[in-house]
Amino acid sequence: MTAIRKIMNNAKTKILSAIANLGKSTSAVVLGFTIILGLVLGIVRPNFFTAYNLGIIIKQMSFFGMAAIGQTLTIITIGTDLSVGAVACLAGIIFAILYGTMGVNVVVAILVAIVVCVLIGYLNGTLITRLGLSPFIITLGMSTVVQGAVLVLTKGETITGVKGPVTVLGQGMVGPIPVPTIIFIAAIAVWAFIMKNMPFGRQMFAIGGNPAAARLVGIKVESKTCIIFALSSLMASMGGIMTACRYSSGQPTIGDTWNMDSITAAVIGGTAMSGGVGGVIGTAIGALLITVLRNAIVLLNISQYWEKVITGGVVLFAVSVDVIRRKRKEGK
Amino acid sequence: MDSPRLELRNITKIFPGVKALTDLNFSLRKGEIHSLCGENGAGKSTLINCMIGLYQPDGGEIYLDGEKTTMSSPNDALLKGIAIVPQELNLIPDLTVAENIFLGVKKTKKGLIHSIDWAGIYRESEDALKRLGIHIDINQKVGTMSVANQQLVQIARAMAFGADILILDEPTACLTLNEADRLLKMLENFRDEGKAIVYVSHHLEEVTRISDRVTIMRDGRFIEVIERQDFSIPKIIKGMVGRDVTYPRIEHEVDENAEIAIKVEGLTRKNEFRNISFEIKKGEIFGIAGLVGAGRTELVSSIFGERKLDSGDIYVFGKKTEISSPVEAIGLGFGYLPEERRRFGILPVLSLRENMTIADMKKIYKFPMINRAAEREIVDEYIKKINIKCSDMEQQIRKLSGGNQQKVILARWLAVGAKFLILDEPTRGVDVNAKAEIHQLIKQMADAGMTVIVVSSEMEELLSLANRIMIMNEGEQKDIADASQLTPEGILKIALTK
Repeated sequence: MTAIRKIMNNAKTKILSAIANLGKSTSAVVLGFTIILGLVLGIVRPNFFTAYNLGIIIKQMSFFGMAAIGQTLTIITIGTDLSVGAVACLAGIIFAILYGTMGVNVVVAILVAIVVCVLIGYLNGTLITRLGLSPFIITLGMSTVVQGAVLVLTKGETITGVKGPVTVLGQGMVGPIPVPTIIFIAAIAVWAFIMKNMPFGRQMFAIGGNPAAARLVGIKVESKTCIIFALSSLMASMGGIMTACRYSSGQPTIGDTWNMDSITAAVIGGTAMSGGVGGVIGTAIGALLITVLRNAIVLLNISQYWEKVITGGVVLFAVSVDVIRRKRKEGK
Repeated sequence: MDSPRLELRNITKIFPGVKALTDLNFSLRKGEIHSLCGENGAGKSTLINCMIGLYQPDGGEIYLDGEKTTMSSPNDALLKGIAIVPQELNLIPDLTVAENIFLGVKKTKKGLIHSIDWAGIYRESEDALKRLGIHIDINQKVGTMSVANQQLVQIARAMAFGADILILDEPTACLTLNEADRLLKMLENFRDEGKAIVYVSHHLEEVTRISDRVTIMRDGRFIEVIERQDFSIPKIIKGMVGRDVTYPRIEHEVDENAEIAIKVEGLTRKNEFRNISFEIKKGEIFGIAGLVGAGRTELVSSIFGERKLDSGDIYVFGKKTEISSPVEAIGLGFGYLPEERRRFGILPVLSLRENMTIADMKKIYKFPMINRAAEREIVDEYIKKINIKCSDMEQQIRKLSGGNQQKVILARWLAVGAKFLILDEPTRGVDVNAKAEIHQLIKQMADAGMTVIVVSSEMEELLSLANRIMIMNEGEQKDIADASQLTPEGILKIALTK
């Protein structure tokens, strides 16, 4: 009997302390805020809580959410990746051209698109570590180059022809859950696992927290940085291909907002711009908040033009709150 | 004789956890060169920073020309006529000489728009330089000039502000003999004109050449002031060094027949150290002593592969080895406890546990997961073995005390099974008890067969720990001797005399 009671007490203590810890975690606070926002919205506009609307929300966040995962990785380690939007767009375009226009085997088309983008990401990392320039500048420059490549390839026009079973990646449903959401959640789960349980994850935080000290414990900082940027582009490219499947075409305009959205999602979710701190689950919650806000603007019939004001305002608010909380924690 | 120009009485300065200055007295006469001597950590920089208003003393008073005053900031001190030529020069490299001399001074034309009076600035800069007998182009960018000339610009800046109390901190560290000579002659001229000079330096021949008095500091306290007629270098050294506290001699035998674990020959790195050679037996504790600027940290971090050597060879167990990165060094069995723990030693955001296991996760990682249970076991083992005080192993390492942080870093290398340990200032900023524990730990590691290199500014620590000690000064290897044959005075004497 006492053994069972011990186990129950243990569990109770663990649950209580987990709840207490939640209050300290940025992402939990944001999740709470999002849920409250959702509830209020649901009261004011009952059709918020329809399966259709909720389905749209979780579907929409899954596309740029992939890029946001990659962004989280680079921000934790070294800095922002401003090429995620352009890379996602390029992936969708390459995929659409190969599969839609040229009839290449769909799996090959996907692989080629991904490989090209991974190489671009690796190049980002190489330039950053070799030239010693900030990620901001290098990825910004790369973004412009990639956007140019998109224009060269598309001449500004949509590339049609993405049809058949592959479109399930962007349009399919498994019951009430959209397939893109399943892919996104799977990606979150994989990355959350890696960052918590694999040496690679720890090395990311080590580099992000103190690159000089990381080097002195034998972490190959330069090569890890290149790999991280390659992985960021990998995630972005997956998001881009999913988007092409969603629209059954490669669009040269997607990804425009993905840079800001991915950074916002990461920061709201608790990833510090200074690096060394953060996580993908928080980013997912941040992506959710952004999408709910956008949804709210539509449901409340607020003019589309206000969207940027509102989203930007929320970002500033979230970042300020986070910084204040951090400073207070350090007793400054 | 009228009152001294500057007088500091009973100055105390406390920083969190350490009392930097205790009840210190210092006085400076008009027309005097007064030198300040003391070892690393004696408090010289702290005292000077109080003189120029960078720090506010926690106790005691400052008197300027007999009147009590406070220096609220370096600018305030400058306006009161006290200027400093710091060890790290305070010039903006991309600005010209004239611009640097007038940095922070508002010199504007009268009239409707208060535009900068460039003509006036150029004229007065030229005058300032001319009065000092310096020939430098005022339009040259300071960053392109030699260190010696940069220093002269710094002095010209002080003079342009009308400073008549000049403080120089290790001014000849980066100068050639000729440049140093020129500077010293200039200081003697200033003195003859009635200016008062505080001269901080380890170059005891210079100190005895130009000073009128020498104040010796030790452990933040005033020890004595020596007048010119009583000067002698041995006397100054004795004052700098004599201590009450000694560490117990930790007996550690090295096997006579042990093989040579590490041998280095002719290690050189431009401007940092040259021609360093030594051999260390397996299981030996090899100390490296020297004052600030000796090049010790630069030397050992080069051995660890963090910096590139310009020339020289390293042999590990007789085999010539190239170590071009920390990754390679660690692969060969090296471990490194860096000098600045907070900047280079700890991974601040990670927990104690993660900090301890970061160097080698092979033992606890089997795809796809890190074995948390195994990791906790290893960390627990070391926490107990070396008595790391923490609330639990998940604590963020930066919340631990300095001594415990050092223990975690040592455990890091023990866990990896390092064969050669390089420790740079292992007990700096560590409380007395933890110090003793770390000393015991080092001895145990050496007894177990590890080869240890210890760099320390505390000579007593080296004398207590090391089998042999290499003494360095300004990048040169002065001597290697048995610790049993050395004393703190002896070490300083070897370091500071030719």
